[in-house]
Amino acid sequence: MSLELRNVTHRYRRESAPVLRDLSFVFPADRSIAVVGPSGSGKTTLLAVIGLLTRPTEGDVLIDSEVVKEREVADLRTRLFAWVFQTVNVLGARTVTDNAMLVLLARGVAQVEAREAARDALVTVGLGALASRTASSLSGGELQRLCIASALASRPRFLLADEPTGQLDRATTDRVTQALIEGRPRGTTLIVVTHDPHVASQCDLTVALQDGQLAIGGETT
Amino acid sequence: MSWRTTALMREAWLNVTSNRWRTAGAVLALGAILGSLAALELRDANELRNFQANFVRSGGYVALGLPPAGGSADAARCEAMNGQPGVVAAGSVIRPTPTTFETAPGILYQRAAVTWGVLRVWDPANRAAANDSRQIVIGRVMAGETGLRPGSFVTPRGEGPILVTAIVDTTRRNPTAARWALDPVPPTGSVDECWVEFVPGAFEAGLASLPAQLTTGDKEAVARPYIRRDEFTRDPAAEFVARPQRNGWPLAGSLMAGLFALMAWFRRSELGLYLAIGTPRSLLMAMLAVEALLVVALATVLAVAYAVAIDEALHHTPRWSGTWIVVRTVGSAALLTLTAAPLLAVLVVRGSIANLLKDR
Ligand SMILES: Nc1ncnc2c1ncn2[C@@H]1O[C@H](COP(=O)(O)OP(=O)(O)OP(=O)(O)O)[C@@H](O)[C@H]1O
Ligand SMILES: [Mg+2]
Repeated sequence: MSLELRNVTHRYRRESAPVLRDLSFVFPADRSIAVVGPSGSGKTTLLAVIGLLTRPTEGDVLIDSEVVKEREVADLRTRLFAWVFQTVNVLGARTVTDNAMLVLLARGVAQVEAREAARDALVTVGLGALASRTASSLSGGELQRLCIASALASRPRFLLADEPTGQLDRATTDRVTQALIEGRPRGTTLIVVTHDPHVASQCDLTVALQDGQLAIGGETT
Repeated sequence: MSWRTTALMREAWLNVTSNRWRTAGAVLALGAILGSLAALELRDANELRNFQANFVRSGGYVALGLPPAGGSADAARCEAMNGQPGVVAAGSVIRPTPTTFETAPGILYQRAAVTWGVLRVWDPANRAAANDSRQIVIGRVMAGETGLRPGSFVTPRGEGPILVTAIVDTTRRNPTAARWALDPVPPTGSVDECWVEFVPGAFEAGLASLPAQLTTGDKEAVARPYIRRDEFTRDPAAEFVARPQRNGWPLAGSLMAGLFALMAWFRRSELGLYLAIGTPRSLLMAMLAVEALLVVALATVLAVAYAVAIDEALHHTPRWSGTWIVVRTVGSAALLTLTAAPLLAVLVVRGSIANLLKDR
C-alpha cells in the first residue's frame, strides 16, 4: 500500500510560520523509511499528518492514490495504522498484555486471538516475562518496548514510530530496531522518526525534514 | 471493523476496576452528592409531613357550627353526625356558665355542659367513656391549677360533691376549655357550638353542608372552619418553586458535571490513545457510559445508605415513603449523571488527537 502527501502545508496558528510547507512526497510501499531532522523541525507533526491524527491546513493525504476523506479517518486509523508515540502513551493502570492487545481489539479481533498476538509481540521485544505487570510499573525503556510490541502485534500497513529508541541502551536499541525493521510483518511500511544514525542506517531509505520540506538522503542529526 | 461489544464492555470494566483509587474517589464524591440530595428531599418531605400532622392536631379539619342569631341549632343532629362518612367526631357545647367551686374558693372557672362527642373532638386521645350526670371532666390547665385528679371530688357552689372522672387535654384544639370543668350531658336542645372534625378529604364538603345539617327553624345555622385556613394552609406549587432543592439540584448537578469533566481531563492522554487507534467517538462515549454506569451504581448504594443514615438520625421518615423519596431522588440524579458523564468526556477530548496524546 502506498502513501502519498500532496502539497501539504500545516501551521498550528493562522499567523505562525508553517511547520510543513507545500510538502509533497510518496512513501514507497513496504519499505522502512527513517525521518531525520533537528528538534522542532516538525517530524512529529509530519507523522501525525501521515497517520490521520492531524488534518493538514492545506493539501491531501492519499492512500493507494485515493484522497482520504474526513469520514473514513477513524476507520482507516484502525485498519491501517499502528503507532509508537514519542510520548509513549499507554493505559497506565492496565496490564502490559491488555495494552498490547488494544489495537487489535479496536479492530474487532476476538479476545483469544488478540491475546495470542500480543504475547508473541511482547516476547519479540523481550517483555514476555512482564506480561501481567501493570504498564505504569514499567521503566521508560520497557514502556517504549511495550508500545513497539503493541504496534507490531496489530500487523499494520503503516507503522509510525516516533523516537522509539530514545530511552534504550545500545543493545536493546539494536534488538528493538531489528524487531521493528526486520520483524515487522510483510507488507508493513515503517516510517520511523529518529535521532540515532545507527537506526537510520538500517532503514531502506532516509529522508530529512528541513524548513518544512522532505529531502531524500539527508544527514542524521 | 471496530470494537466488538463484549470487548468494549470488558474494556470499560477493566478501566474501572484497575483504577481502584480513581474509582473509589469518584464513588465517594458522587455518593456524597447524591446522598445529600436525597437527604435534602427527605428533610423537605418531613417538614411537609410534620406540618400536616401539626395542622391536623391543631384542628385544621375541625368545623364549628353555630346557631343563627336569635335561632337555634339542634344538639341531637350535631351528635348524630358521629359515624357519618368523613366525620371523625362531632359533639356540642351546650351551655357554658361561670361557676365558683368550693374546692378552689374565690376563683371563677367556667363550667360547661358538653356532649361526649365534643370531648373527642377537643382531645382525640381522650377515650373516657361514661355518661353519668354525677360525674365531671376537668380541663388540664384547671386540673393543674387546682390539683384535681381523676378520683377527686369537686363541689360547685350550692351543689354536692361531684366525682372527677378524667382530665382532658384540650390545649391544642381548644385552649380556652383547658380551664373549664366539663359536665357530660346527653345531646338535647339547642347548642352553643357544634364541633365537627372531618377527615382531611371530606372537610370542604362537610363544612359546606354543616349549616343544613344543624338547621331546625327557618333561620339557617352558620358554619366556619375552626382554624382560619387562609393563614395556615400551604400551597404546594409555591413551595415547589421556593424549596431548597431548587438550589440544591443545580449545585449538585454542577458538582457532578465538574467531577466527571475533571476525571476526563486527567485521562485525556488515555482517551486520546483510544481515539488514535481509531475508536470512533461514539464508541468511546459508549465505553465511558458503561464506566459511568458502574461508578454510578456503586455511588447509588452509598448514597442510599448515607441518606437513610441521616434520616434515621434526624427525622425518622416512615419507611416506605422515605424509601420512595430516596429512590426517586438518587435514581433521577444517577440517570442524569449517566447521560452527562460521557457527553462531558467527549467535550473534554474534542479537538486535535495529537495534542491530547502530548498531555500527560
Ligand atoms: N499543538 C501545537 N501548537 C502550536 N505549536 C506546536 C504544536 N505542536 C507542535 N508545535 C510546534 O511545531 C513545531 C514542530 O513540532 P514537532 O513536535 O513536530 O517537532 P519535532 O520535529 O517532532 O521535534 P522533536 O524532535 O523535539 O520531537 C515546533 O516548533 C513546535 O513548537
Ligand atoms: Mg517529535
